[in-house]
Amino acid sequence: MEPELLVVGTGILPGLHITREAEHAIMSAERVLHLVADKITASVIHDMRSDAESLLHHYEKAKERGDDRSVVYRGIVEQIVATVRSGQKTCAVFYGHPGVFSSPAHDSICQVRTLGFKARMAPAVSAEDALFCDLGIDPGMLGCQSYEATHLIGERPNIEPQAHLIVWQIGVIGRRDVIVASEDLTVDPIAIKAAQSYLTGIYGTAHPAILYTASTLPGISCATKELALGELATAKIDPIATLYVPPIGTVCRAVQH
Amino acid sequence: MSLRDFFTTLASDQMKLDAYKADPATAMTESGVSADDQALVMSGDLAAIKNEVESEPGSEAIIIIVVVKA
Repeated sequence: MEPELLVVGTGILPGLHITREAEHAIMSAERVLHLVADKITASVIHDMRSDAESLLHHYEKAKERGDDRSVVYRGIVEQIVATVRSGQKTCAVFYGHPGVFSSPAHDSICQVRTLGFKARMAPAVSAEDALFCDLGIDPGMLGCQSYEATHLIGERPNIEPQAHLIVWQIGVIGRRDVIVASEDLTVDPIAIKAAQSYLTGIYGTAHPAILYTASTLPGISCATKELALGELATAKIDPIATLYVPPIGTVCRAVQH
Repeated sequence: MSLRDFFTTLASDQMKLDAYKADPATAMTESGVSADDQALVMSGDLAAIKNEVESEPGSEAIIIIVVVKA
C-alpha cells in the first residue's frame, strides 16, 4: 500500500452515525489511530479494528505534566504524521466531524501533504447537524451564524439578529485551560456575563434561547433548556452545551425527542 | 449488564436498538440492566445518564475542547 492519510469522523451517536466511507477507511488502513470522546465510541472502533490505537495518552501525559492544549495537539499531530512517514496507509478517526473543532485533524493533513504524501478528510455527522434536526432549524432559511463562545466575546463579531445564531462551547466559555473533563468544569463567571451582556445588547434580555446538548447515547434524546438571554449568566450550563439563539421575530420550534 | 455495556450493544446492534425504542423497560430487563439504572434511563436525563456511563470503572471521560487558534 502507498503511505497516505485518511481522516474520518465517527459522527455524534456511537455506531449509528458512522458513514460507509469511514467504515471502509478504518477497515482497509494498515494503521488506525483514534481520538474519541467516550468508551462506547472507542468500543465501536475496536469492534471493527482490534488493533486500533487510542491517541488519548497525549491528554493523560499532559494532565500529569501540566502541559497546555497546544502540547497535546502537537503530540497528536506528530504521532499521526510519523505513522504516515513510516510508510503506512493510516486512518485517523476523530469524534463527530473530523474537521469541526479539531485542529489536529487539519494540521495533520497539512503536514502530511507538505511531506509529499496523499491526505484527505471525509465528512461526518457533526454536532451542528444534530442540532439542525433536534431543534428543527433549516440554515437555508434566514441564514445561520456560528461562533465558538470564547471567540465570540473576544472578537465581538457583527451579529445579524435576523438570522439563526449558534454559540459553541458556551459551557466552557473563557476556559482555555481545560483539557480533561474529569476536572470540575464550571463556567467562567466573568466570561459568561460578558456573553450575556453582548447578546442582550443585540437581542434584548427577554429574547428566548435554548441550551442544547446533542445526545451521544443510542436511544436517548438530546437535552434542551429554554431560557431568556437575560438569564444566561445565572443558568446551570452543561460543559458540552451549545447555545442556540433564534432570529428576532421567530419562535423556537418544538424540540425533537 | 452495566449501562455502558448496554448502550455499547445498542450502538452496534440495530435490532436491539429498535427493540429498545419500542419497549425500553422490557429491553433493559432482558439485557440485565439493574432497576436503578433502568429508572435513570427512563428519567431521560441525558447528563445524569452520561455521568453514570462515564463514571463506570475503566471509563475516563474526556472533553476535547477547542481548538480555535489565536
